[in-house]
Amino acid sequence: MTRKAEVFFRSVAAIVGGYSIAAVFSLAFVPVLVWLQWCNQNEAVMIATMLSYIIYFSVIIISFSRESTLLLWRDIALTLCLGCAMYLAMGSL
Amino acid sequence: MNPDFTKSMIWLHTHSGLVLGWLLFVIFFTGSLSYFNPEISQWMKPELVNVTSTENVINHSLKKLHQVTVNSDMWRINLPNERTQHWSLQWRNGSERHVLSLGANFDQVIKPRDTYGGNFFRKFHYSLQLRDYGGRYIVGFSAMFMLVAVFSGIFTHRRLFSNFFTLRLGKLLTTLTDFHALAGLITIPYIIMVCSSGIMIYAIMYLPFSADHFAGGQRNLSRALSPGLEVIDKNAPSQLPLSDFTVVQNKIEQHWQGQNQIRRITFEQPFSREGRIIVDRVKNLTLSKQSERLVFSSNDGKPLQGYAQASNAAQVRRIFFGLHEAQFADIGLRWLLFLLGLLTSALIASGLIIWLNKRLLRVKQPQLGHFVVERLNIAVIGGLPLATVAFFLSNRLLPQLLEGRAIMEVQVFFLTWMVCVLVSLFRPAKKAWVDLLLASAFGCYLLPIIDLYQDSQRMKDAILEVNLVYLTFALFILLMGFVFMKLACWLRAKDAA
Repeated sequence: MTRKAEVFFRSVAAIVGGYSIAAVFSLAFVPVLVWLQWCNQNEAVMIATMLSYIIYFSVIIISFSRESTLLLWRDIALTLCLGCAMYLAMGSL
Repeated sequence: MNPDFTKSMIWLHTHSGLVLGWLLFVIFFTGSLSYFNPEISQWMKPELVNVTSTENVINHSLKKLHQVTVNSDMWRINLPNERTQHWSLQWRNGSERHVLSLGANFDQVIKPRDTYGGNFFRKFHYSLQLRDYGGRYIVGFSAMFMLVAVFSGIFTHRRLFSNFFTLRLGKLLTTLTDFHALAGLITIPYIIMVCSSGIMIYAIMYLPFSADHFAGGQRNLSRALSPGLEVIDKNAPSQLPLSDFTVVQNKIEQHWQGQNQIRRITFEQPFSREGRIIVDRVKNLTLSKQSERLVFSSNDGKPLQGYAQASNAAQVRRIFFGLHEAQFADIGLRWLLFLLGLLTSALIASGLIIWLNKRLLRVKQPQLGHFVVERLNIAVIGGLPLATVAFFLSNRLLPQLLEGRAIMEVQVFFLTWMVCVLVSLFRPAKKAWVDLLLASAFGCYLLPIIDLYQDSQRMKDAILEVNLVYLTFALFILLMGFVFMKLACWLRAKDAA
């Protein structure tokens, strides 16, 4: 992969991938907080959304420090699937 | 892309800083000015008079409201304080809104000139004058960028201890690099605080999915987390509101100890039997954005059921909001935050200039990219302070009774900035820098002189009443003029390398 393409794919991973993971986390973590009975659902929405920014930030840093772009994208995809699975599993509880 | 974590962080620092550097400079510069929002507004409305010592302000306000309004839906009394010096009454009949500013005597109505004041900078800071076009999203995105730039900057300039004690004044580039590392080291905690709290203000707006899915939208969520008061029945029988506030005042004093605890008094449906008074406490006692509130009946002043306690999550967000706005800060801390904000602007500016100068040293023939970066550096970093000074100058020079005066001031701000862009395009780089800096210095010197020439009584009053806000503004603007002038002279004497 040329350097320009690599920078492009990493930037997309950081900005779009990071945002998607943060969004999925903000959805998936709400049922977890409610299930653990730490707070009610509305509060859980607020907490999960605020925490998701930390996830976003971490994804940005990882996007630019991971050695392989391919593995990076694989991990982003896996994380997204995991988040969705968690959301579905917890939602059916 | 680099096997080494540090190396990829250096790459990230270099490029993330460049992409949004100019935007970040603008946001930090206007944000720093916003710390002194009421003070700047006060300076920009010299018609305001000192009313802090007026006795019985609230009862006077009520008397006036009884006189001038009939059947209003809302009354509001904004009490003056040292920072605003602005005593104003607001009322609303349906969608009709009225404002009245009062002077030192009960019958004295003053008409401050039409201006956005310091609020222009605050609005520009968080929405870039593009509120309806996603301005707040752009600002939030830049805040995230800034956090990334700072985090990667720690790895780029990692010799923290030696950086702190090094400032070589020989060559321009080394001076800038040392200054950049030094300023970065000092401002790291501040930047992290200010960027993260800034993002948290609109946390739900930037990532609305969870709120939309679980709570049915952002509004519903915030209503559920921090419930408001009950809606007042519009068909309730009418009754005149109280005209002597002493009853309420005595009850307030039991809750809030100390002098001058009230910031604002709002009457909702004052002419209804169900009407109520909401009293807001001053903001410098809490970190939170929301100060304490008490609720009373508007007919007899009996205490009513107050606001329900907001949930913990909502309170955390309010504290982030409060931290960002720093209404809690006393004058010393406010200056510290303001200077840290300016230092961060200088940090970003020096970073951008370093990026360019390092590359110009390396290449023989500057390319289009270098040209664009150079022009943007001059137009944004050199132009924004000049535009700000022009904004202040227009506040004094535009005729007071001009139609649409407030908007014209803003237009002067942007026109000056446009002129700076032109100057940056048509002058050689170094000359353009010196020109803009000297123009800013000249404007800064001119400002107090014009002020004195127009009405020397203002300055006399400020000295007699020890109006520190007014005096400090004049002194600080002179100091800034001196700094700009020195910078211009220093730059002119320097080798570009």
